Amino acid sequence: MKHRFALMSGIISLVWGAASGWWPVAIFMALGLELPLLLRRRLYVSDKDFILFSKLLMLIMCLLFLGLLIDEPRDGLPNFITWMPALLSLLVMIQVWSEQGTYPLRAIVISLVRSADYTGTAWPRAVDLRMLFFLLTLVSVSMNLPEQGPWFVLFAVLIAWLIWRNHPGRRRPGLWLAMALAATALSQTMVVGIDSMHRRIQQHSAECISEYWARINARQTHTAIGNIGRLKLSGRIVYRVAAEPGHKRLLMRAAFSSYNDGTWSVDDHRFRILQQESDSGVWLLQDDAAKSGEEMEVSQQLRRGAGMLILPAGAYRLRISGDAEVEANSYGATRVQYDQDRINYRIMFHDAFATSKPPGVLDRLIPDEYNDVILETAQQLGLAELPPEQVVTRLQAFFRDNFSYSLEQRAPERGQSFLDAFLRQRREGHCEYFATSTTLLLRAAGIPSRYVVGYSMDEYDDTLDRYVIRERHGHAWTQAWINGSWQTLDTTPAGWQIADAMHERWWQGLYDVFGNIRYLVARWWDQDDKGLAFNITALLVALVLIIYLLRRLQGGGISLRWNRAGDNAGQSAANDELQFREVLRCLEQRFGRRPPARPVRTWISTLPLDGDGGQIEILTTEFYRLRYGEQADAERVAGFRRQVQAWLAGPGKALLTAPADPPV
Amino acid sequence: MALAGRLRRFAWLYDLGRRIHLRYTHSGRLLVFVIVVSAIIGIDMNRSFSYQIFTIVFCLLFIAWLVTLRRGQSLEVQRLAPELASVGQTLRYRLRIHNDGDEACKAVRIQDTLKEVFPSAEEFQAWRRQDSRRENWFDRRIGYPGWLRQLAFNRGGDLPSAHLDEIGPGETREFVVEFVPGRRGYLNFEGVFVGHSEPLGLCRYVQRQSLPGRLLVMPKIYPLPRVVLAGGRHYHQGGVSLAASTADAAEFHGLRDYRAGDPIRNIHWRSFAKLGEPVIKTWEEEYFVRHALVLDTYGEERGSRLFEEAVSTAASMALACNDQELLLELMFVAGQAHSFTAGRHVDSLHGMLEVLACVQPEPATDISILTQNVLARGHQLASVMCVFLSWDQSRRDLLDGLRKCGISVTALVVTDGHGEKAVQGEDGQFLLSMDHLATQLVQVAARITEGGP
Repeated sequence: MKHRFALMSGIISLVWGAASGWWPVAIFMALGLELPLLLRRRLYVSDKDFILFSKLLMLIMCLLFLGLLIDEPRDGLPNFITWMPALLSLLVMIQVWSEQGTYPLRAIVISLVRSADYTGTAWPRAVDLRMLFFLLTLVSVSMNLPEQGPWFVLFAVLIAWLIWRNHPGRRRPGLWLAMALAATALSQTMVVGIDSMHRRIQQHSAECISEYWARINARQTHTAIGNIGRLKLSGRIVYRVAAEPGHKRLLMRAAFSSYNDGTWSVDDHRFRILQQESDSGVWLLQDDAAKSGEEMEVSQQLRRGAGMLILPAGAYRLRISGDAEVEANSYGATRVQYDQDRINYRIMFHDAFATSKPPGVLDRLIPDEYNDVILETAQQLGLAELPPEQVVTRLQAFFRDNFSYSLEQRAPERGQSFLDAFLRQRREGHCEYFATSTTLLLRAAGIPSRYVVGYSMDEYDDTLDRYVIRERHGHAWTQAWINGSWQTLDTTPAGWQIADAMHERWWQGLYDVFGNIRYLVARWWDQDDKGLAFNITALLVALVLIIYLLRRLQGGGISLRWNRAGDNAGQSAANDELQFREVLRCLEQRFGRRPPARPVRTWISTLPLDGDGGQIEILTTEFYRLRYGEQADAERVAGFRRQVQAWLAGPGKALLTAPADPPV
Repeated sequence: MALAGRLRRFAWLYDLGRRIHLRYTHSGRLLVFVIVVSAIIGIDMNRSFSYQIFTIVFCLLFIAWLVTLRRGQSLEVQRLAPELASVGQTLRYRLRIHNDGDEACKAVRIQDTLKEVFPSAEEFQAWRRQDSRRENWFDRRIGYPGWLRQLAFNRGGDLPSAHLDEIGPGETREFVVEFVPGRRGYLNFEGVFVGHSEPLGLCRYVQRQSLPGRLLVMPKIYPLPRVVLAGGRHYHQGGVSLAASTADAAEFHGLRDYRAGDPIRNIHWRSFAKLGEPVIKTWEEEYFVRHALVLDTYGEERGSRLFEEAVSTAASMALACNDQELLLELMFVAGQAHSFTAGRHVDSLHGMLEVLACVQPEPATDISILTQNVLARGHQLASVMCVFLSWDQSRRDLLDGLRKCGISVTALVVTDGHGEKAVQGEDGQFLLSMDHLATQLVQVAARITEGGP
C-alpha cells in the first residue's frame, strides 16, 4: 500500500455507488481500479490502442450525453455528470492495468493525436488520470446526495486525503493540518453564507417562478401579444400522433373565456376526476357517446408523471394502459397523472360531439379597453346584421384578404394597444392576434366564443408512420357557439406552418434522428410481446457493431496482450522497460525513492554514483533509445538485456551491499 | 483585424496557462479545474452540493495563496550552458542552485526559460500554410494548437523544469537540463523561475531571476565521406590573403642577389644589413582551387522542412568538402546577396556553419539576383555545387551559364518525394528525397568523388 493512489480510486467509486445507488457498477469500478495493486499481471497497451479506447469512449460519452439531453433536456447534464465516473473509470482502468501505468497524453488531447513525437515540447508524454478521476467523481457524488447529511465533512475529508497523499515534497504535518483546518473553517462559513443568500434569492423569485409555471396550466394562458421582437420557436418534438394521414386536425389543450391585458383565463378552475369504465383503462369524456367514430393514438412525454392531454374536437373516449388518473374541467381541458414519464393514449372522437359546457356570460364579454376597436371593426364589417354562418364567412374573408402572418412584433404608437395596432394599422401578426381578434369580434356580433390553445397536426413522418408535433406547431384558434354547438374557427392565414418552419435550426434533423431512436426504443420497451429472441438479436447486433467499430477505428488487429511484470522473456520494448526497472529498483533501494514527477535520467544524474555513474549513464541512454527511439533489432535488444543483467550481477549487487551514505 | 484579435487572445490564454503552471503544483492545478467545474454545476444549489466542494477547494487555494505572499527563501541560480548545439540533438546543460536563506526549501521547481517571440498575423498565416498537414479539424477551427507550435518553434524549444524535494540552508545543488533544440539559429535564454511549495503543497512561492544567455544551434549535419570536387586551379589576383576581398598581392617565393633595375621596395633589408649587399625578395603569383556552394533560399516559408533539409544538405556538404588547400565560398540570397568564404586561413568552416545556422528563406521566387551573383564570380571558380529547393527553367539556366564558363557543376535538388535512392536527372542534377537524405547524400558524395580529378 505504498502507492500514493492506493485505495483512493476504490473508495471514491464506492462513495459514488452509495450516492447513485448503482452498487454493482461501483463495485466493478472499485475492483477494476484497485486490483492492479495486488496482482502482477499487466496488459501491454500500445499508444494506438490507447487512442482507440479514448475515441471509443468519447463516442460513447457523446452518444450518452445526446441521449440524456433528448430524454430530458433540463436534466440531461446532471444525469450525464452522474454517469460520467462510470465511463471515466474505464479509461483509468486501462491505465492502471497497462504496463506503462500512465495514460499517453496524445490519446486524450485531440491536437496531439497526430503528433507521434512531441518530445522536446512542454507536453508531458503521459499523465496519470487517477487524481482527475477522484475529483470529478466527487463532483458527481455531490449531484446525487440526499438533502440531509454530513456532506460537507465528507467532502472536506476526501479532498484533504487527496492533497495529503499528493503532496509534492516532504510534508510538515503540523503546519499542513493547521492550514487545512483554517481552510475548512473558512469554507464552512462560506457555505453558511451561500445557503442563506440562496434562501433569500429563492424567496424573492418565488413569485416570478410561480407566474412562469402558471403559463402551462389550464387556468390561464399568457399570450405573446404585447411582446416585442421575434418570437423564438423550438423545433423539439413534443407529441407523436398515429392517425389517418391527410386528415390534418387541431388538437385542443385548453379553452378560455376571459381576456385581460394579454392573458386569457377561465372562471371555473376546478377539475373533476373522471371515472374509468370498470378498470378497463377507458375513460368516457362524453356520457352519451356513440360507439363509432375516428381514432388516434398520441404519444407524449410527461413531466414527473403529470401533464395536459391534447384532444381533437369531439373526443368522447380515452384509453390509457396502466395506472392513470384523468381529470377534466368544464371547458374540455383534460389532464392526467400517470405512473411513468411517457404516456400513450388512444382517443375516439366524432365531430358531432362537444366536450365543453354551453356558453356563459364570460363567453360574450368584450373587455372595456378593446371595446372601441372591436366594435368599430365589427361595424365596418357589418357583423351585427349578419346571421352567424355569414359572420364566420366574413371574418375568414376579412383576415384572409387584409392580413398577413408574421413573427415580428413591433411596439405600437404611444397610447395605442397592440390589438388596436393589429386591427387598424399593422395588419400582421401571429396566431394569437388572429384568434384573440376573432373571438372578440364574434362576441361583438353576438356570437359566444372562446379562445383555444393547442397544436396543429401538420407534419407527417413517413418513417414512423405518424404525425410529429413540434413545439412550433403550437397554435391558437377560436370556438364559436353556432346552432347549439361549438364550431372550430381558425382565421390565421394559411401557410403559417411554413413560415414557422423557415426558422428551423440546422441541427434539428440530427436532433430528430436521436429523438426518433429514443421513441422507437421506448415503444419497443413498452410492448408486452418482446421476446427473448429479440433481446438476444439486439445484443448480438450491438456486439457486432462494437467489434466492427473497434476494427474500423484501429484499422487492423488489436495488439493487446498480457505480460507478467518483470518477465524477461518478452521481446517488446515495454519488457525492456521492465528490465531496466530492476536497475531503478536497485538504485531506489540504495538512494531512496525517485520523486514521481522527475524523469529517470534527471534523477540518476543527481545520484552520487562515482565510478558506476558512467555505466549507468550508458544503460540509461540505451534504454531511452530502445524505449522512445527507432525500432531496434532483436540483437540490440538482447545486447541491452545482457548489459542490464551484468550490471545487476556486478555493480548493482555491490551497490546494495555497500554501507549506506547520507541521503541525497 | 479579426486575426490580430484572435492572436491577442491566444497570447492572453498562453500567459494565463503559464502563470498557472508556475504558480500552482500539479494538485493545485487540478483543484483550479475543480473550482471551475463545481462552480458551473453548483449554480443550481437545489440539485447539487457541488457548491460545498467549490467552497472547500476555493478556501484551500486561497489559504495556500495567502501563505505564498510571504517572501520565500532566496534561491540563486547559475546556468552552465555550452555555446553551441545542434538542431534535433539533445542538448544538456547544468543549472546550479544555491539556497542563500536560513531555512530549507521544499518541493522546489526550477524552470529555465527561452525568450518568447510572438508571431505576427502574417507570420501566423504563413506558418499555418505549411503546418496544416499536422492539423486536425479541431486545430484548423481553433488555431491555438498551431499557434503554440509556432511559438515553440520561434522560441527554439521547451525547456523541461527540474524538481527537487528539498534544498537545505546554504546548500548548493546541480541539475542537468536536457532539451532538443527545435530550430537553427540563436536561442536566447531569458531567465529562471524558481518556485518552492507552501506547506499544503498546492501553490508555490515564485521568484524570477534574470539570467540572459545565448546559444547557437547549428543545422543538422549528415555524416558523409570526404568529397573531392572536380575543377582545376585558377589565378587569383590578390592571392589567398585577400581572396575573399580585393587588393593586389602575391605569395613570397624566395631571395636572390640584386640585379640592376630591381625595385628598391623589394629589397630585403634584414639580409642587406647582414650581408652588406642588397638582396631582393622574389614573388610568385598564386594559383589555387576555389569552389562555390550555392544555397537556394527561394519560395519557402520559415520553418519549412524542405528548406531545413536543404540547409542541412549544404552544411553536410561544406563539411565533407573541407580541405585546407581550397577555398569554399557560400552564396545565397536572403534579402540581399550574401557571400562567405572559408578555407586557406581566410576563415574557418565554423564561421560558415554559423552563417548557415542563421540563414532564412527568401519569400520571392525570382532567382535572378542569385544567378547574377554566381555568374559574376564564375571566372574565379573551379566548381560549383548548388543545393536547390526546386527544379525549373531559371535554375537550369543558371547551371547552363556556369557550364559555358567551363565550370564543373553539381546540383542537388532536395524534394519532398519519397524515393529511397538518389536519382540522377537528365541535366546531371541529383534529385534527393528529404525523407532519405542520410543515405542518399552518402551515395551522391561517392558519385561526386568518383567523377572528380
